[in-house]
Amino acid sequence: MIKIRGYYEKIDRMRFIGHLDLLKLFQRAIARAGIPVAYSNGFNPHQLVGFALPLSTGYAGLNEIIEIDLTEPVDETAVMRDINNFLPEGIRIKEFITLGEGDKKAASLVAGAVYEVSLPSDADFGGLGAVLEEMKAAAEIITEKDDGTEINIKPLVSDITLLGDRCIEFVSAAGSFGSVKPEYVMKAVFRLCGVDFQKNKYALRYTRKALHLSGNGEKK
Amino acid sequence: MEAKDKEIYDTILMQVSKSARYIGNEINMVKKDPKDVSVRFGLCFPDSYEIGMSNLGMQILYYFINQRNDTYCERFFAPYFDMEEKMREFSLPLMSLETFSKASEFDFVGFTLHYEMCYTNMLNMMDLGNIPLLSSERGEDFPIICAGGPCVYNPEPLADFVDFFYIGEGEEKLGEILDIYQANKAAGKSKLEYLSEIAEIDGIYVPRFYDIEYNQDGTIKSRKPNHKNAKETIKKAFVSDFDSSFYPEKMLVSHIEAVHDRVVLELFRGCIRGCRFCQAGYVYRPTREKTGETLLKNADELVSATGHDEISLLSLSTSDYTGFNSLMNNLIERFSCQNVNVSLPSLRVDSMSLSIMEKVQRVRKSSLTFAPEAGSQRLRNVINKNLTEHEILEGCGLAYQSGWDKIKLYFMIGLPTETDEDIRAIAELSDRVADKYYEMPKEKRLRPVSVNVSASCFVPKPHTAFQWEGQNTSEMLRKKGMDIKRAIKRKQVRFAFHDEKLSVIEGALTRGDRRLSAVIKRVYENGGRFEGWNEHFSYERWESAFAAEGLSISFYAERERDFDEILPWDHISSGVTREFLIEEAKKARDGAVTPDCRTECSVCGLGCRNGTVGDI
Repeated sequence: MIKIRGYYEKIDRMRFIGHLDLLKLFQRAIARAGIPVAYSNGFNPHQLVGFALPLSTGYAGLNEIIEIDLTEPVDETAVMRDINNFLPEGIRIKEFITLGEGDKKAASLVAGAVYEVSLPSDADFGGLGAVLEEMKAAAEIITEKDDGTEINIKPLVSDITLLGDRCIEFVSAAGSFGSVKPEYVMKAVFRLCGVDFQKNKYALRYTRKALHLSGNGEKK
Repeated sequence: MEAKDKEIYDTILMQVSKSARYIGNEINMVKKDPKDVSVRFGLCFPDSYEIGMSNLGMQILYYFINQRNDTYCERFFAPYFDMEEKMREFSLPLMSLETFSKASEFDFVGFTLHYEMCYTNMLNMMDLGNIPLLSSERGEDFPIICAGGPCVYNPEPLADFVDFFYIGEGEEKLGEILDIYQANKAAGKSKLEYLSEIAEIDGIYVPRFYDIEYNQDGTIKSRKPNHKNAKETIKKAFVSDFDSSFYPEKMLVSHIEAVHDRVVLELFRGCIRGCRFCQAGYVYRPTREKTGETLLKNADELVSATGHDEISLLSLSTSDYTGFNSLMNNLIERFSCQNVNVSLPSLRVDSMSLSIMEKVQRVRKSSLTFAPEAGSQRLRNVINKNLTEHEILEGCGLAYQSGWDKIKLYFMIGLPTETDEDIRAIAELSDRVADKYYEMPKEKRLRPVSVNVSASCFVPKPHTAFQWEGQNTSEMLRKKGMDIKRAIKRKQVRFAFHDEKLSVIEGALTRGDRRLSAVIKRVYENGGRFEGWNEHFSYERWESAFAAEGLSISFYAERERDFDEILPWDHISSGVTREFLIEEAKKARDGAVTPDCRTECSVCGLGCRNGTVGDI
């Protein structure tokens, strides 16, 4: 079986398309593009297409990963052009690579993800830079999960960076190596800045800029 | 949308359910610059996005109107509760999915009405669009509100809100309506001048051009045109040459899982069967088929334009299509290698259709559906449902032999002349369908059979042979439902019955007069939204609104009408004559059947046989 891995972006309003609906959207585009996609066996054959890691509805993604099983080798550039023809504005494949024999699925290699989060302009985040420095230096970062229990996310977050006065970047662990929701990281930031998270949480804009794959799956 | 509103909108989308309902930008969405057109048409579906996106009429109209270079047709759907709450909180108006333009900026705001229980959603959409609900309160600055779809064969309950109704098939006269608007707009003519002009066109009904007087007992005393252009009778508009009529080459593809995510082929309009309860069967006459060639062309275009992996055949009684077998074979042959399935709704089950279904469904045997509608042969004759118990049991037997073990049976309760015996017959027939399975040798019975029986409540509809009949009360319907449940003996038969109160309100609305506009408005003001969804329906809200307007639900739903009563929809003509409906109503009471149109013409008024179709 030949497998190609694509890196795509999902931006603007298209970030509100949910995971399963996005899969359908890609499958329809692949069908229309006439790509030699492989189908599953069984009563209800479906295209063998998968993502590396689901992206929450509402999040933008700049280098998300899709993998497609094929029945024959293809020209990556041509396939990219053909599929992009049938994708709506806001979703675009940027690159395809053909995987080697024995390469693992991206889904089993995901180790982390780079998030950029922009903060609402109408709340006071004075001292944000200092807070981030504090988080970097701290031995533990305590935050609250949705169910109210407290966790230490320190081992799961790294590279916390201030990108502008209202924009933060960090790398959070993902996949089978342990993971943390980016909201939990933001909750910790809000708590340390003394800003109400519940009141502002919907005004945050999350962008997943890249996925980190472990081992041979790392993007060059 | 301004940058500030865009921020607010995005923040709202972060917190509502199924946010993809509200973003537009679907595959095959039509993109135009509103500045390049002179007419803007807001096409509204007063139900959720996923239901509206599955509506074929909506898809046809969207592309039909957008063929015109001078017009941009954009879509609006009813926002769900959470979305409405946020829109009101942040004062965001109803906006189109194409360009996020405000509804109030459009020349036309047109509703396609598929179900009476959506009427309050229509008002909510107008209100969210900052458009006054009452046509009497809308000046020149507001859009023209129009409505079409199956519900408008009785337009009266919405008479206070709508400027004009379009009765019939949009493909026929909508172009003309837009041409006239175009000319009038250029000439600076008023809305009233426009309505007067189009009032002369077949299919167009302007409710304000008619005065209604009532008798003491609440029935209609008279209906008089008060405008020189208002016709005595409004004949529906319909395409006579269906094969060459407009059909889109594309279809909008829903962002979220819709009710029907598939390519839809419309094999024919109309139905030859003449079931006496079925409004669609009467109002969509005459039966007009597309050729196999046209359908294959439609299928090719739509599969390649959408990427859907399923083609569904839509029509009232699909297997009555003349070239059904060869069409199915051609479709299967052409699309199975592309991994596109062909699915079949509403089939009459016989050996022929089973062999087709075997092909279609490959190995997986999903459940098979029969709609006997009534339990006894006597009552099936009353409703002219031409299906015998023998045919049902034989069909089930064949299906069991071929490996099916799930059967669905649809019945109606509350039908005219129904007795306790007819009700028991539903239980007995259901049991016999299960029995039939056990007539097979044991080694062929791999799993226990499952028979799912559901009974819906009969609602007498305008323009049918039963338009004069009284509807059962919700108590009667409830009791009948319980009686069936008790009478079913086999444990393999599962029975579902619900919505009797909702059916009564539907019954009142579908045969209502224009006094119901006030009731609908009141229910809307008291929070009525998505009233057709069981979980949102409130009988009490309707009850108190009827009471507040001094009207009674039973007057509209339960009351049997005399043949000589002036009915609220009498001036709307589907082409089927009143005499024919009266004759059918009388035959129903005698249990006499009427042959299907292909076997023998019963002279309903459409005149297909003598070549005068189109001149009703």
